[in-house]
Amino acid sequence: MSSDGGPVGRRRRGLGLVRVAGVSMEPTLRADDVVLVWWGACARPDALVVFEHPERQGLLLVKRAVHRDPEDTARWWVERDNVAGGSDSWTLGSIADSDILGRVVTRLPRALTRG
Amino acid sequence: MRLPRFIGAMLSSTISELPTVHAHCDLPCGVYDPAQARIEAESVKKICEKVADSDDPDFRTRAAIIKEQRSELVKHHLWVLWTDYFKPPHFEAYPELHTLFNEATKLAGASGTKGGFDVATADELLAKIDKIAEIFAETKKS
Repeated sequence: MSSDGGPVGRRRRGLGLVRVAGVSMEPTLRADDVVLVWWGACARPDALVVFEHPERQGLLLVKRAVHRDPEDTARWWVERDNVAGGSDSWTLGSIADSDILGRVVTRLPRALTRG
Repeated sequence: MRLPRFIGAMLSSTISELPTVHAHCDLPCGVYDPAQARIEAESVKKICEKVADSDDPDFRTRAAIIKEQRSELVKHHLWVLWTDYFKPPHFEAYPELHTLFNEATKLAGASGTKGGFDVATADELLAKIDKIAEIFAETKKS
């Protein structure tokens, strides 16, 4: 998060908090979970990453980085954790390194973030 | 120093002010919409195309598992429409509906996209879903 509460800049670095919306990453992340993101960190296999939607500028998504795109090593294949629904590389295609904005470090304890 | 700033931010800002990262389904849950079946069917088609281009055995195995899951989801979403959304008057007005659902769910099943990697079968499935979606849209109008 930015200390002024403003929108997340495309090239921000360092640690920040973000809130999760939606259920496509269940059971790992639930709607309204708060996660600590390392902005500027690159993707790794099996890590959760934050990236910009390839077609909707400014829309940030969180998914699991699975492996490099075998057809283009400058891109990552991302998938949803929730088998029941959600978009991922099987519908969005792989994600360019330049669109990956950060990596999820940890989820804050729900006891802390749920009133 | 980032850590003190981080802790300070944690204390001073409410969760609702945090930026949001989306893990959305493309569609709201619990709402009837043939687009749910379509999205899963589109990804089944993409899987078939990707597998045709790949000779990586790990990728092909994962693709097969995911295709199985998503073909099952296509059937699930179609069945929900068939049994929960459409009512007897719809089946009277559109007598082809039962057959359409029967054929579409078969195309998503073991004899269809679940059992194979045929892109043409995935296209047939998408075409059936589109026909169901047309009828769905007409029933929404009336």
